[in-house]
Amino acid sequence: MSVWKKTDADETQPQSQSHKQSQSAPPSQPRRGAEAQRSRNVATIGPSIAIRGDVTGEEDLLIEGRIEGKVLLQKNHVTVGKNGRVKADVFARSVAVEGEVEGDLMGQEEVTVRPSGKVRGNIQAPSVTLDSGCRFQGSIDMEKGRQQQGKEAKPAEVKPKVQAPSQEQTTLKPAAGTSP
Amino acid sequence: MEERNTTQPSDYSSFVLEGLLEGLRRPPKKVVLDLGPASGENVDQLAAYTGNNYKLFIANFFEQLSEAGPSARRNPPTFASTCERLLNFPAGTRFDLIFAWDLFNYLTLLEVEALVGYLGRHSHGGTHLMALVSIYKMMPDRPFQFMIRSPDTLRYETLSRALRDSPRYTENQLVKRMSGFRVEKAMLLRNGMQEYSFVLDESEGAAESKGG
Repeated sequence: MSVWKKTDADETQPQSQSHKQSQSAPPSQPRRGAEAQRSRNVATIGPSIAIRGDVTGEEDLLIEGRIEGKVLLQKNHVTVGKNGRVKADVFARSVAVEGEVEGDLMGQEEVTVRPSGKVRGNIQAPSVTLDSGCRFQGSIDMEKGRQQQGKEAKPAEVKPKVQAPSQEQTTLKPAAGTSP
Repeated sequence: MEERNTTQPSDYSSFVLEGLLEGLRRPPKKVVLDLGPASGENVDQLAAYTGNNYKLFIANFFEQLSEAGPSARRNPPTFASTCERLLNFPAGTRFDLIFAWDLFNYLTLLEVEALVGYLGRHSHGGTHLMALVSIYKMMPDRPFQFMIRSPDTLRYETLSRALRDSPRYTENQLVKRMSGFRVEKAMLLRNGMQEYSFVLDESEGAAESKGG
């Protein structure tokens, strides 16, 4: 199976933004890593949890378990922790990967693959950081992510790589009193 | 590279890199292929050069080939299909610049031919390919990792201490196997590498659309 998505290879739209990725100011939260996530009010999919289907919601998410399907948290941060194994496309405001992902990562702000991270898929985000030691195979398209930032990502355009047999959907909703 | 077996990274002045990067500055959006392992430095430098107006494919081809096992390299027809299977770029993808780095040292000439044949189908007239060929007798048993430090400086870091024989390919040997590509620049470096910038002739490339 090809890691490259059959999309937009011939896109030629010029754009004028110029900035060095390492100099861009990233949102602070995804840079803090899984440990920091745990100390915050974030939903956690623990190491013993396995989900097949779509994950949607409106709060930040730390994945230490397994997900096959799709992760749709476009207004929030998603961290795939060191124990996390994700076989899904992930749509989020920002994504940080410390574990393993097989699927595409769409970040409206940024995507970071940390030293322990392993990604096989395509990344679209205005800012992409590959930390030294990480393993990545796929394509990186920063312009696309920037375009999505302005018009909201459209996850419906992307077919999930893994078909959830039961079409079950897991929705994450903020618990009372935990909303920012 | 000085037949060394250390894991200390080293920098060297590249004679072809700056020209290749300059070619990325101009619109339209550029498509770049890195056949080596992922490097954050390369992502950053390419982003800076293109003003983010590029799409980068990272193939980590040698690693993929190693994981595919010896059967993937058994004979040229198999290797051609191996390239197709492991790389399998989206239809319509046309690279403007390909970083092969020192990958050719780890392929037979028939494998180079098959790989470049596949890449040619995702290239266009004027596509550049950068390669480094070892001229020393011995070399690390797996490719170096190359990182762009500045427009004219590359850092290379060995990922293995073990050594193996170097094929020491000559320019003629390579060009014969690189259909449509010609040498644009070649420079013998003091670190034991011959640095090449190949370019695909204007009449070549994009054979995929013709069913090639």
